[in-house]
Amino acid sequence: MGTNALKTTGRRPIRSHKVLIADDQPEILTSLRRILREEPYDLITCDSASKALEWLAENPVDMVIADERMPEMRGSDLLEKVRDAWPQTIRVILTGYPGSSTVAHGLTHGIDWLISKPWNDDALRLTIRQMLDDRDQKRPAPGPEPVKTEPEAADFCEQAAVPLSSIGVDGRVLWANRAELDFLGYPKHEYVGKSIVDIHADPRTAQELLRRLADGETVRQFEARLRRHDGTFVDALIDANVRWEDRKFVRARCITRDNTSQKSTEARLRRDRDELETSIRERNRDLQGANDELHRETAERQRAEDTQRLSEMRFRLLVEGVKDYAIYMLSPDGIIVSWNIGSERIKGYTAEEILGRPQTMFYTEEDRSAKKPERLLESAKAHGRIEEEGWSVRKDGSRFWSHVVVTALRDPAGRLIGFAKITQDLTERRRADEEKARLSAQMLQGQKLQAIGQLSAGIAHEINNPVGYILSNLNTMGEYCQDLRRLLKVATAAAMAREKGGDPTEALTEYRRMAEDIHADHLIADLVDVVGDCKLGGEKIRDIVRSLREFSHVDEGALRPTDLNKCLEDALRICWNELKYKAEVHKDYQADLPQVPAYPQRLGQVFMNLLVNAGQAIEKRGEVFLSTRVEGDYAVVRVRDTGRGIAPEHLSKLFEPFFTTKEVGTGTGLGLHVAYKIVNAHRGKIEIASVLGQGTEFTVRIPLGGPRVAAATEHPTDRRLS
Amino acid sequence: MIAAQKSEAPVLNLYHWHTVIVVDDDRQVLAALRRVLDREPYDVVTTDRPGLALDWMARKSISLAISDQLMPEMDGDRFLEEVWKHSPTTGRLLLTGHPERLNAIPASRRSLLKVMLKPWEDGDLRKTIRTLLREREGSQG
Repeated sequence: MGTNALKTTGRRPIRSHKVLIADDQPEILTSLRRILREEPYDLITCDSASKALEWLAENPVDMVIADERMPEMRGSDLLEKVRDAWPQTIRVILTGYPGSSTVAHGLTHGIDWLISKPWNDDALRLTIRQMLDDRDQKRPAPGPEPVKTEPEAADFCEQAAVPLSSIGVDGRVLWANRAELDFLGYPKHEYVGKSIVDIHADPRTAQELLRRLADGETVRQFEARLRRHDGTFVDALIDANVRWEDRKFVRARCITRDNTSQKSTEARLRRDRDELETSIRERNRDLQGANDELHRETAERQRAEDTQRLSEMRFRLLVEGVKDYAIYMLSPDGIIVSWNIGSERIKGYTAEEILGRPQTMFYTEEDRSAKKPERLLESAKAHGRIEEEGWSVRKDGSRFWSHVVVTALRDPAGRLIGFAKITQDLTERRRADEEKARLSAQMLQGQKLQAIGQLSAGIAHEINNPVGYILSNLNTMGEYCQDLRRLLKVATAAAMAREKGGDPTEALTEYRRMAEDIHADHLIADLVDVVGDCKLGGEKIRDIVRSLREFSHVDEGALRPTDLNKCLEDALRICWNELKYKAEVHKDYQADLPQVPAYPQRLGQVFMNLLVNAGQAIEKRGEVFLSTRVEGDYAVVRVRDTGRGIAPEHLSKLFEPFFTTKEVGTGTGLGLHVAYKIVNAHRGKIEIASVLGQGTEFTVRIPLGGPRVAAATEHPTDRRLS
Repeated sequence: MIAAQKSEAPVLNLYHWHTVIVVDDDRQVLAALRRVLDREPYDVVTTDRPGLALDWMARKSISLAISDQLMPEMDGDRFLEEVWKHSPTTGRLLLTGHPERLNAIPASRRSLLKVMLKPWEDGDLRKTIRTLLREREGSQG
């Protein structure tokens, strides 16, 4: 016996194992043959399960390796038949699908090992070797020839250097040779007749041995610990069989060998072998794991590919199915290369009509001649993405307001491969926006007219006064004229008398008396004042009417160069009656204030609202300060009053619609909301600063460059009066 | 003579020489009113400051006070109430373009007033003033 694994293999050439391989694929058979060429096996290869069974029927083998997938019979089924017919045969399945349920079933039903394809050559060799070795351990070598009970045979038995004994059916020793007695140290008379149960250290091994012999088994290398006569123990291997006569247990022939030294060697050997087995199994398991991993990865990759294909398909379906957006692709030079249903719906072309044609055809004549489509693509190329709104043209020539996003598409290397273009028809939204703007304008206009309505009594009063004195003055002038005509008559009479050579004295006296009576000098002088006053009154009425017309006029919606000083002055004229009885109005206008692009009527409305508020903030008497300035990029108008001020908790709500602290009927709560909206529309700012009990200052900033140039709007900020 | 020329006007007792004071914040209105009343048989004093008028009345006897309603310094009805307090026998005439605003004035104070609308008619104004002055003459016996 060897001391290590390598030497155990040395036993193999003694006996050549037969290995049958069944696989329908010739290349697998060839490959296995090649791998096992160096091994000391007789290889039988069959290309079908039926051929394998045919062979097996005639020639038993030690091992059958079968491919699971064979046309007429599965490998696992073949191996099941092999198990039923030749249970000693080692059964190995060869499969590319180690996880399949058939194989799993096979492993629990009669399959000893599984080789998964692709295999590792060394692992395969080792595994086969290992399994054949394992089986050899279990299967006994053929026993010695039966010993004849002839005299020379009797001598042979008695004197042989191997301990021999025979045991009766009751387990008592019937006979033992010299070597046996020496081995265990018993005198013959003591040993014969002794029950082996007393000789075995463990009575159970004796009983097992007897049971197996009684079952007709030839027991080989039965390990037992035996009790010597001196009480020490010895490890022994027992080979035994029974002589039967007429199916009757006559005696058991036993050969006992000392196993002590062998036992420890064997223990080490077994350990070594166990280690090797373990390492091979582990390696196999690793390989198996690697194999499984590979399969899983392959399956996963397949799944990922499927998923990607599916998601690409879904994406394509999604894009193609989108109806509300035209989604299409352009080649780098602007040729249409894809077209979805939304494109067809919005633009009117079918895919067949449009694919391969330039995208410029979606633009208006003006845009095309201005090279807008080209510029758009250039811009997308430069910035990655461009977004814009404008008119687009449908197939039928009609126009629609579109929102377009163009995205430049680049491959991983950064090369431009085309553009994605998404167009949305915003005509409806634009219409809605216009409607909203119209309603908003209506609201502004409504608030304005309402405010003017509320001011109308004051405006009427402002007109009434001049009308009153103009009419009265005209009446007075009439009276003056009458008086002067009478005076002129007397003067004429005096002149005529002198002309005719008569005496004018009487007429002249009358003239002087009358001139004194009617205060002629005063009349003449006063006439100048009367005319001046009438003119003044007329102008006042004219200005008021002009301002009023300026106000009630609906803004045509176009920006106009606007003189904010005049605008403020117009507003003041409209509101004058609300202020003049309560407030001293101080004006501090920047004379050279530049005109700003604005909606003058709307700004007038803002100032009117602020002035009315200022007037209403003043309870009895106060002051109102108006100023205009250029500050930074803004023309700034300030309206400050010394009124009651605004409570801090109201400041934030001031620009909300319908917020009012005034009595019912005094204000609508729209004035400041409207002011805010109008200033916002100018991209300007409106700010409030207020101290309760001290007054309020509104600051309106209108961008000098107009709304287009101005930055985005900001919300009004609160600032305290210093 | 004057009386003959303005025959439609009530005849005043010229032994009672009257002084009429007119208050309005609008100087043009004031000038026009002065022109209307200048050649009437009474003295006319005009001012745009109700306060000055009250001062003046503390020193002089005034037969009639005519006032505008809306003035920065003082509302006309308040001014005329002051006139009534200082000189109950002085006649009071309010000239206003907005009679509806007088609804806000308490009825007790309103009863003290004779109201005329702006724009006025010169003849009507002269006649009303003469009537008020004659009523005053009558009430004084």
